Parts: sequence; structure tokens; C-alpha cells
Amino acid sequence: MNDIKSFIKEFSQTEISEINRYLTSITPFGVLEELYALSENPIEKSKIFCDMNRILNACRNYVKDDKTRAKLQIILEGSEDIATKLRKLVFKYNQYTYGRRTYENQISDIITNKKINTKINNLIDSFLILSEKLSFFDIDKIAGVESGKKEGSDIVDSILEDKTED
Amino acid sequence: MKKNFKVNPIKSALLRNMPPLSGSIYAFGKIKSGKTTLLLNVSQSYHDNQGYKIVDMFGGLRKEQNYWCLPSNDLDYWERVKKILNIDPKVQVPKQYKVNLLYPLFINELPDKLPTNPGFVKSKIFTIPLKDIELNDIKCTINGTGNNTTYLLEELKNNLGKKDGGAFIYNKVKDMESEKQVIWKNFFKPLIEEQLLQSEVCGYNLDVKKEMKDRETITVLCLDFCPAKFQLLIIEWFMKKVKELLDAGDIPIKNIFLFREVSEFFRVTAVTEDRIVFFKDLLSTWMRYARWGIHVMADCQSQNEVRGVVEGQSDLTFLGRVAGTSRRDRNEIKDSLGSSGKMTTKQIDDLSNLRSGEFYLIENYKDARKVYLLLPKTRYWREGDGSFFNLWTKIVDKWEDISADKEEVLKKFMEEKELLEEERKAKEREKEEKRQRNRSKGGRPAKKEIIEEKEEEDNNVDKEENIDYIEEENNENKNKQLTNDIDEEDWV
Repeated sequence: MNDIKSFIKEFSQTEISEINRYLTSITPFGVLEELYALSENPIEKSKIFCDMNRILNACRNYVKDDKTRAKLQIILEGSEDIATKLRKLVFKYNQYTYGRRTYENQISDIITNKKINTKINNLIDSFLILSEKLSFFDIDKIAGVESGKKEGSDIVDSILEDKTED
Repeated sequence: MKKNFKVNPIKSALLRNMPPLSGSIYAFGKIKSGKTTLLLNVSQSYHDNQGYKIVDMFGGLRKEQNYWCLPSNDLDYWERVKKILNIDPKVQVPKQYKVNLLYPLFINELPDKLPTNPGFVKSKIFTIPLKDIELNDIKCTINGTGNNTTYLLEELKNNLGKKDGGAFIYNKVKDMESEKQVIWKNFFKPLIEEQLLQSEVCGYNLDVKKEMKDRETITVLCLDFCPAKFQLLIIEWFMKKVKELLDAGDIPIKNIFLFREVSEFFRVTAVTEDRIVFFKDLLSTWMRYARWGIHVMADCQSQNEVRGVVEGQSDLTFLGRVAGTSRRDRNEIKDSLGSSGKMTTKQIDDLSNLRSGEFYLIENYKDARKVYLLLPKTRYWREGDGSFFNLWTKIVDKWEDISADKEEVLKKFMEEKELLEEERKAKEREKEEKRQRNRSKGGRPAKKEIIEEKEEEDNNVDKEENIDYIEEENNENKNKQLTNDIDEEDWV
């Protein structure tokens, strides 16, 4: 699990695009849009983690390929228990006004645990990588490239240079 | 709060939305500059993205129009482009379009088998109703048309019924004794014998409205088996029908018509035939009234060749690689675009350095900008491909047998022709019998008979006089020879 950043490279472009399509479509219905994903505030971080865990779990059931499902399972390993604990505490924190501080302290205790914090961070990082909006373009809407611009000229070079190599 | 947006470099460099058309599109460039691929790519972009109907009218001498039927075989290229441009991997590229191949019926020229690919490619043979033929059609076929042509055409059309086809015209012309007229010999006779001209109710007549309303399918006019002198007629007739439909508001106005090597018609640097000059005027008119819904997309090697003809109607102009040695071409561009500030001198100088597929795009009022056009999603003509039919045999090899259709049309024509000939002969026989009956009764012969008899007598007299005259001439010649002989003997 510590090697999660290198493990994420195991996902192919099509796998990422498949997961991405689900994540980007589901995100607007969660709390993620209202929160800053890299927040270190214990309550917000817990909320983010719970939400991400929930979405990735749903995504695991959604993907077609079994290999992708297995990869997602590896990412989600061990995070379910933490999520269940945190979800309860966050729920209580939101529900009650009296004794709120106690729940906040309990959440902070969990999050400040080094091992648990690493797991939480890893899951959040993986989610961000998988959900980074890959801007796929529709070929029907593309006629060519503006080669007069610097970026365009580089793109054309790469298209045509490769062609000559063939 | 300040927000920083990360700009996607690919997104900013893509040539995405082509402007909605109000005029025509032209592509200029020397050989291998990528004109063919440009025409296909831009028209595919308009078709896929903006719902334009594509009609491929003229494929040039290389018959490039047929290549719509085959998806591109540049698989490596598209794989690379997909990666570099971050294109949705789920989209199907190369693409197999739905294509209708329209073959005008020239019964002696058309082969028995035409290409087909169920679900995608469909070959159709078509005929033209005689009622549609107008003077303009004839002018696109025959070089000189006079009053006789106009008269005969009107006379034939006035007597033409709904069910009357080529056989009727055949007999009518014989009745009118107009078999020696140019319009008959060079226009009606060959076209009727080839079965292209049919009655209004013939099932093979092309339903242009239906064809134009099918927006998804690419319509390709195949003139592969059409004799060269009738090609303009077919194009003119099709465009005429489209114009009629547009005028009536029966079809949408987003239509693109592809013409390759348009200098065939627009050549201003050489003297061409009357019919081509006439067609050039028509094509120019269609382009001028592009907002009707006829957007012509044309390519040509040199702007100099079509100078002054197309400049006014252009909406999008693509300038490809110009030969470094062609001072005339560069001067032409300098004259038209450099003088108005649309192109800088640096850009004009750069024209000879453009790579294949790179063009300067001049869009309406905007200044020229350099663009690279991707390859088309379909196949396109390449050296070494040979004829399209060979390629089709190699790749798809599915054919539609049209011999039964040909036989049916021919059989119907022959039956009608025989029937009408019998009727004509019967009428003549009746007339003859009437004449004889009148004579046997001792009745006064009809006026016509008197005239005919007189003419016969006159002819006989003329013949006799001629014989006398010839005999006199012969005698004179003989006398002259004799005197000459005597003179020569004296000299000796």
C-alpha cells in the first residue's frame, strides 16, 4: 500500500479513462465539490476520505474488466475499516451540538495516527489521479492543428516526424 | 479570490470549429501539397460535426470520388494522432461511411457488376426523365446549338406524354424527318440507345429529393462509365434538380458539392470548347448563389489558372505549397492577398516551404493563418493504388449484379419501339390505301398528291436537261481535244 504511487502506474490509459468517466460523472452528486480535496482540517479530511472511499467502492462494481476491479480492490484495501470508523464519528459530529468537541478529538486522534494518515493520504492521492479530468476530444470536431502557434507546430512535428520514421 | 487556470496546450492548438458556410471553399497547391486529403478531411468535418450533406460530383481524371467507400488504412497514423491529440479512444477512426454510388445508365458502357457492401456501400444505376431535358443540358453536350435545335427540342417536349420514353422520340424524329439534325445525331440518338433517357414514370429515374434528404449518406456521382462528352450533362442535370428543390424549400440548405481539379472547367489560360465555357458559367452562377444551399468545394493546382473566376465567392481559401520556381503563382497571391494585407510577405515566402498537409487558411474577413489538416478518415488516391475497381476487388470484393436491370430496361425499350414502329407503318399503309381508293373511284387526287406528282415530273425534266447538258459538254471537250491534237501536229 505504501507503493500506491507506483502502483497507480499499473493502470492503463483505457482503464483510467473508464474509471475517470464514472468518477467525473458521479462527483457532482457528492460533497467533494464543496471541499478542498487537499485540506488538512480533520473534519473535512474525514469527510473527503469517506466520500472518496464510497465513490471508489461504487466504481469498483462499475468497471467492466476484472483486472481493473482487482487493481481498485488493492487501492481500497484496509481503507474500509478506517472509513467506517470515521463515518460514524463525522455523522455524530454533524448530528449533535452538545459534546461535539469529543467527536472532533476522536477524529483527530485517528487521523494523526501515522499509519492511518498514510492510508488516507494514499487513497486521496489515488482518487485525484484517477479523477483528474482527462480532456478527451471528439475527432469529429477536429479538422487539424493550428501549426502557426508554437504548441501546434510542436504537435505537427511530432505527428509528421513519427510518420517519416515509419 | 484569484483563480489560476491551467491551459491545455493541445486544446489551444486544435483547429476545431470550422465556420458555418455562406460561400464556397477552395484549395490551391502544387502536386503532393495535400489538396485531395484536405478536401476530404474538411468535408468530413462539416459532415460529422455540422450535419452538412456531402455530394461528390467530380473526381477528376483519377476518379477519386470512389474512395469514400473505403476506410483509411493509415492505422499507425491514427493511433499516433489519437495519442498525441488526446482523442477519445472509444470513437471509431478510421471511419466507414455510408455511401451511395450513383451510376448514370449507359447500357453499353456499364459493367454487369458494381461495388457493394451491405449496410455501407450501395451502387445504384439511374436514368433521367426526358421531360427534364432543357436547352442548357444540350448546350453542355453539343458545341453549337442553333434555332433548329431549339425548335426540335420544343416540338419533341410538347408532344411528349408521361409514359413516353426513348422509343417515342425515336419514332417522332422519324416522323418529322429530322434524322440528320445535329441534336438527334449527337444528343438524343446516343442517349436513347444507351437507355439514359427514359419516360417520366420509369422506375430507374433518380429521386434526387430522396437522395438529398438522406443526410447521413455520402452521395457519390460516378462518371467512370459515362462517355466524356456526356459528363457535364449529368452534372448539370443533377445540380439543376438540386437547385429546383432548394428553391422550393424541399431540402435543407447545408449541402457541399465536391469538385476536384476544377481547372478542367475554369481554365482561363487556354481556349476551351463552347460547352465547357457554358458549363463554367453555370458552375460560377451556382457558386455565386451559394447561400441557396450549394456550397462548392473545389481544388486546383494553381490560383493563376482560375484567376478572377473564383475569388469573389470564396468563404474559406486554403493555400498549400506553391512551387518555389513559380513566380507567377506567388505574384498572383501577392496581388490578391498581399495587397489587401491578408497575408504578410513572410507568409507568402513561406508558401514554398509548407509540408504536405500544411496550408494557409484565409477565412472570410480574418487574416491568413497556418494550419495542418489531418488525413481523411477514409481512403484517398495514392500512387500505386491502380484503379479503384482493382482495389475494391483486393479489399472487399463484394459486387452487385445489374445485368437483370439492364436487360429489363433494354427489353422494355425494344418492345415499345417495335410497337410504335408497327403503329407508324399501319398509319402509312392506311394513307396509301386511302390514296389508292380515291384514285380508283376517279375522284380528284388530294393536294399533296398533286404536289408530289408535280415534283416527280420536275425532277424527271431536270434529269433530262442535265443529261443533255452533260452530253453537250462532252461533245465540246471532244472538239477541243481534237483541235489541240491538230495544233500539236502542226507544230511538229
